Amino acid sequence: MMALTYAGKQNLIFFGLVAFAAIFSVFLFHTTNQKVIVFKEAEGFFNEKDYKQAIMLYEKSLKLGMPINKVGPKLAISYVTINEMQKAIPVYKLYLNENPKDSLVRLEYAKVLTWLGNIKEAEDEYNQIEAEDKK
Amino acid sequence: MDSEVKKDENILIFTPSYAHLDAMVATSFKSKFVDLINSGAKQFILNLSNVSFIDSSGLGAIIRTLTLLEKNQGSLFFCNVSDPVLMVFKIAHLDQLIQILPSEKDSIEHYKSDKRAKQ
Repeated sequence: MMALTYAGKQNLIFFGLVAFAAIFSVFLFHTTNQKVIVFKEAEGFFNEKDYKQAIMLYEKSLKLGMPINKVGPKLAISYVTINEMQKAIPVYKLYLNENPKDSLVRLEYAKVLTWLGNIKEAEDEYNQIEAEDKK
Repeated sequence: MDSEVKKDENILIFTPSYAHLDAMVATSFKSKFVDLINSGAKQFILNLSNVSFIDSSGLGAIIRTLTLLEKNQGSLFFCNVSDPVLMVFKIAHLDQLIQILPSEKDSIEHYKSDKRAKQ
């Protein structure tokens, strides 16, 4: 086997890094593109009132890295609309963690908690809405 | 697609074109309605057939519109309200303040039968 010179090794490292950067960029572009495509598909189903399909694709877009800010309220209300309240809870929690001042979504969350019988937690949320309103 | 405004006798029917009544469109929604109210119309129908989602900004725009209508002795019926939007109306107890009818035709008929009753 031919031994590599110092310059040869440097070239190999350089081209290796370039190749890695190129592959990583393609991967990143593909993932970013994919999450947007999936999100748009979900929006289409949501607008067409097919909430089950919308939920499936909203969840997928979240897994692909779509921010909860964009997905959360629609995903949660889709669950509420098809009467799967329990599944809306973690979505509300995640969204409100990043958007604590969104009183309407907190109100939705509090209502869902009430409907599920989690009165103490619902009360905490109502108190938080009230505290936010007083600010 | 542009939002549509049409007239049936004295009734103005506004059909927003956007799918989401949110922060992006709340201001234009409100200013459109202010223009319509300022044109002297008193009877309105808001056809939400294209609107599948509403957030706090959209809800705020609707509440401000209702307040303005109240001041101008106007009235407003909502029709073709999708389930998620209706859910938000219910959660915010807005459904107790507004009149929601199934379709544009029902809303027009409601106004006309009201008018007939008053004559």
